[in-house]
Amino acid sequence: MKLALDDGELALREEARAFLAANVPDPAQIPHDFDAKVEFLRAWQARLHGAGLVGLSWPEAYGGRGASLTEQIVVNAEMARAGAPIVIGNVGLDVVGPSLVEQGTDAQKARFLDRILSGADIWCQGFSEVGAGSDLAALRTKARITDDGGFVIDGHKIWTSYAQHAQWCAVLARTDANAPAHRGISYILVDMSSAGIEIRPLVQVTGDAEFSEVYFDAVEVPAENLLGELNGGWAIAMHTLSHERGWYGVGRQAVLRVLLDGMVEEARALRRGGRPALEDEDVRATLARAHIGLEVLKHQGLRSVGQMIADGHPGLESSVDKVVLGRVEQEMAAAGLDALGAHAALGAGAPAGVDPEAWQHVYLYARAGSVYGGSAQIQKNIIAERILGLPRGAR
Amino acid sequence: MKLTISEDQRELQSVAREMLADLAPLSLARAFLEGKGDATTLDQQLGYLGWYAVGLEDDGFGVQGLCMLAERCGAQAAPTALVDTAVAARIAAAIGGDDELTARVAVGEAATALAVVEAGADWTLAGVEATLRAAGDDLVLDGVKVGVQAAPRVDALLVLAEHAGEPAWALVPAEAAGVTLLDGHALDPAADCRVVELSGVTVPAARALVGDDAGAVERALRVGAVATAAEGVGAASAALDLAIEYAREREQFGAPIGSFQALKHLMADAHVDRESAWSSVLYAAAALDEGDAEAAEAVAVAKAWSARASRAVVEAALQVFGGIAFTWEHDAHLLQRRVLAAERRFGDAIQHERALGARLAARRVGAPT
Repeated sequence: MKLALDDGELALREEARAFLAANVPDPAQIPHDFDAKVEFLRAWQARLHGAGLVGLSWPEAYGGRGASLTEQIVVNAEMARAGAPIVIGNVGLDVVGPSLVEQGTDAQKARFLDRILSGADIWCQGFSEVGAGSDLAALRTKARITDDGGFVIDGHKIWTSYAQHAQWCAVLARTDANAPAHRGISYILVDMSSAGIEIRPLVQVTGDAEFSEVYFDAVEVPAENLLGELNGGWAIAMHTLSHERGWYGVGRQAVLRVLLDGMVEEARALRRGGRPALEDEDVRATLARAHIGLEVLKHQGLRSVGQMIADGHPGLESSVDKVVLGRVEQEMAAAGLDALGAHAALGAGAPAGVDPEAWQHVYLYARAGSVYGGSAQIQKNIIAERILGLPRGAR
Repeated sequence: MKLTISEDQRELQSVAREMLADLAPLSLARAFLEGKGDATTLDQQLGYLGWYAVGLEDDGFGVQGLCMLAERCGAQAAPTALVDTAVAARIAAAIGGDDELTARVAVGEAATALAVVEAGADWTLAGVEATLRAAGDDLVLDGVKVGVQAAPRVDALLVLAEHAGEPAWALVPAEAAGVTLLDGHALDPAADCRVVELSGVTVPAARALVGDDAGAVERALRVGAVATAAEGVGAASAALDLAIEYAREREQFGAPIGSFQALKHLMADAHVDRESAWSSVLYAAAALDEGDAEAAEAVAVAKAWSARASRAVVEAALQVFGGIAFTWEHDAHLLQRRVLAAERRFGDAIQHERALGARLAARRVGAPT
């Protein structure tokens, strides 16, 4: 029961703080053009890697520091506080990398892990399909097994973040059409420069083209790119998704905290009824409730992390964390808009220090919080059936 | 930097679960509802078990341990003075000195009820009209307090009163001359509330806390706030457990109602509420135990969030039961009453949200944390 940072966490925090103070780029330097931005962020990741500040919780043998989950969280929080740009390779670092560490062959580890850390390879995740969102096991992308044990992939993935910038994609594909849905899926590592891959960027409501549709037309993949067992992909994917849910909330909390602190300052600059909005009781109460939500998100996350460290793996509670995150993020984003009053839906002409468009972006982006990584409704089914023991029924 | 509980605390939790289920079944709360409640055995056992003293010393249980006990008291809607006594002990310790009653309260040996709320005064401690005035070497206490829990069964009352324009506290033996207990009917019958009239009650100076430069009262009230939050979470959570059990058994349309997604999601949301509330309670209690600089804020967060969450949880539970939980004979409303009562004590959600709003406004971004 130690809320205070231990010596290792403190040392790491000081190290990260010192590096970030000297190295975080001025936000004005970050290009607006998405492609240029990706290159910029890749270079940023390489610098972080040079300082040993990415993949901290990876084993030392694979280029990490073998840091504890809490040390990783401390560093993430420092990055948020310092206003550091996002780490572009997060799918590789948080999702694919840990799966490679656990399930990969020596050759796969040697080939991929260091390049994930340095940002040389950006990864994307080819899980969701048009007909397989919440019901992921219904996926239809097919990988035909060739005589030499390789694969030929045909299918269509959607909501694939960073696909147009990724060198590699972790694809879930059906390798046994006759097996029950969950048992006929394999986890295949696909080179995005392969012949037969077509990427169609999807513009999000925020205006960013962060994700894409990816079409696979007879894409050939060698046998050595299978991760884990043939037809054993479902367990790997579920494991990484639960890992992602397990402590993602704590990291996200640190980012949201910085945003809310900024909103308090904006509410000082804004006027409502001729007075600073922050002096308005209802605005204060709205921001206070958002603040409370963020704190509880942190408390919930730290409790889950404590449990995860004790058990050695994330438990079903990660579904609770995910619901809390979606709810808190959306309520916070709405609170920000509400505090902005007359300017909330405007752009030009706001008072100095107030940026309604940034908050509109926060609000629009927050809508994804109850959808990605397994929708809130899927998490509630998991909670109801697997935690509360309620009987399964019609969906 | 993580939130965990120790083996000893886990053990305390499990002992509390068994003991309170045994000592305070919901039938005891119901007896209070019917006006024939008798908590003598429960009171005695809590004393024997040393639970009034949990967290006072460096006992390895801490305020977290107290919250675990309070959570279980809530789950049984138990008529106890546990939380009040824990708070009173901390204020009595600030009074100090060698007065015997004060010393007994300070170590958790004397069950004590807090007398704070008045017709025009609440848990912000503002607006108090009860007075504590000098009278020779002693002080004299006058006023009317409401919502004094377990008042007929405690050894002492710790009364908030105004002295020289400041809040002050007076420790009064329950049977002192000038103390009159009046009917105090309240929503939660097992809280066993009384209206307390104090008329010319003599208070030796050694039993009064006048001025609180060290902030002992604030710290004590924070313990009360987080423990009461735990009590509310416990009550709400127990109601949810009953509802889940019911939803597995009760059939409509040829299937257990718990298999219907509409009810599943209602209960899953309630589960998220109770877990997040419990996380906030454990965190705030740990912050108090560790002397964290942000403990006051953590307590306000926990109390505000838990108050709203606990009510949502118990309301979801009632909805699952349908009409049956709307009847006097069903136990759910005993828990509902405890949730609503706990929500108010030591400051409601509005009070704590307002305090947090003021802190946010006063804080400048970029200040060191």
